[in-house]
Amino acid sequence: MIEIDRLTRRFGARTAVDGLTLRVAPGEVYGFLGANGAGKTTTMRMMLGILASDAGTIRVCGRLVRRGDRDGRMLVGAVGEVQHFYPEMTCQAYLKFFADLFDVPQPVQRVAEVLADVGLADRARDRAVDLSKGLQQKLGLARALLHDPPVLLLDEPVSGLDPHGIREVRELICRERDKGRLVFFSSHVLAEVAQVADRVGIMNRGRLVYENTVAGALAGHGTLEAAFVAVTGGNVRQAELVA
Amino acid sequence: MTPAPRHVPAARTVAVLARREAAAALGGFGVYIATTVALVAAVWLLLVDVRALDVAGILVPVDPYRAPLDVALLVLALFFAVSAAVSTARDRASGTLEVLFYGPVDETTYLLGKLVGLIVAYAVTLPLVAAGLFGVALLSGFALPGTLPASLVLSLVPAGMVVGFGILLAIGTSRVRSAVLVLGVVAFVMLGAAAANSIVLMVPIDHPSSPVLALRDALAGVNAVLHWVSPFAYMQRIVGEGVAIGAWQTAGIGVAGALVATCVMLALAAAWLRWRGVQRGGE
Ligand SMILES: Nc1ncnc2c1ncn2[C@@H]1O[C@H](COP(=O)(O)OP(=O)(O)O)[C@@H](O)[C@H]1O
Ligand SMILES: [Mg+2]
Repeated sequence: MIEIDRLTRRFGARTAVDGLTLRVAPGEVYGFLGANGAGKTTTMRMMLGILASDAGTIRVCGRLVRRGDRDGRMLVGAVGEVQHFYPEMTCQAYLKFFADLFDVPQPVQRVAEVLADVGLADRARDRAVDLSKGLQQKLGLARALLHDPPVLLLDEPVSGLDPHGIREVRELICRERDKGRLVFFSSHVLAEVAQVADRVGIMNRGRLVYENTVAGALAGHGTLEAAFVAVTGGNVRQAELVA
Repeated sequence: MTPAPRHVPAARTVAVLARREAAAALGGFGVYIATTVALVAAVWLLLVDVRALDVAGILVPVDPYRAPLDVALLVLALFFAVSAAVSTARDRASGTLEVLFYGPVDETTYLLGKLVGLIVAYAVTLPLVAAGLFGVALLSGFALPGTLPASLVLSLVPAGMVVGFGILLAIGTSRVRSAVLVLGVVAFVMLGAAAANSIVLMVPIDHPSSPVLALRDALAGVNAVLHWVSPFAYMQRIVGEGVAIGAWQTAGIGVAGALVATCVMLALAAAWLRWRGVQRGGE
């Protein structure tokens, strides 16, 4: 479960996240939308406890997120916007390193499992830096799954992927949701979000300006894109504004 | 509601990080090139020394390895300072640091992992240095000093300080190139001040208001500070002035000073990293 209350973060004079309050239930897929610079990544970095907030609180699975809380990170599997790998490591070695870092029991077996989960079993001995962008994204997902976290935080997991890659990530998100994980992901590929998310929140200049179930948003606006344009363009129906 | 998350002991995190760091350092060519350069420098100094003694008519030098060993370890230490700076700056610039922080890693465990890993890599090169010197001893006929093992083992402490120094300088920079540049300039100043000091002491003074006197005072002041802060000065003190001539007290004070200095540098680096944040380009 994720509980965020009145979360605020400023960078100098700019308020990147402004009084954000939201809830996500276990087993739910939450699409976190917003234009570039809306504050999505900043929010997720605070949820991970690697960026301090100026005000407000975040709880993940009931545990208060504090900056530098090493134990808290065990509850979350995260994939960032851009993937980075040690140039000398194969996919297998990379995952083994993180399995050791997370102190995963039976790490070798677990690495084989997550490689199979994301469909990279046949690339285990290839160097991670040599993979295509889509496959690197999958390797990042495999890393995030290693320690079997109840919460997955994915920052723009489908940006830059071809349709094939997008479909595979979508299937993976659904599969992990079916295993009971909470999936919180940011995106601006709206058609994609409509297919996979249960609920969406739309950020605009640091504020959550719209929140609804996907079904509700589609019923009200026809498409997510129409909802997005409506709420970020300024003519929002009052009833849908988040208080 | 949810059970408490599994706890990974900090020592475990440090060990895993250190193992990768050491493997990466030893997996490249750099460390073997540095070891070779260190040995070549040592042999060259030995030859120069021996020839000078020959000219002076002295047959048996007291300890022909004193300067060569000192310089060899200094070369290695410089290499590890650069390694530390490069790998720290690279982790940060590439975004690898942020990915590590998605896991149970914080500033302190990250920095300790790097420090321990590079000290281990340094320790692995020591048998190579010893073997090289052993070969030199066989060929030259000059027996190795009995204090060699002690020198090598105690040099781990200033080597750790050198690594900590490289890490600290790299935390403040955002690019690998600037990290190397800053380290190069600082090392040049530190080593240069020590060298200038010994050169100026040899310049004759012809009158009491000679500018050389003022220069001497200035350099003496600088070196008094460097004595306590320069990792290269500690290396020289512990190996060259301590163990080599059996001045165990000097070596002991050097070791204690280097340990304290390493802890201080690591704490500073952790605070600085916390302040800057792990993100590329800083917060
Ligand atoms: N480390 C940082 N330093 C300064 N400003 C930042 C930093 N990170 C984000 N910002 C600013 O905060 C705002 C939100 O950024 P971000 O959370 O990355 O947006 P999004 O992920 O939605 O594209 C942007 O205006 C961005 O410039
Ligand atoms: Mg972003």
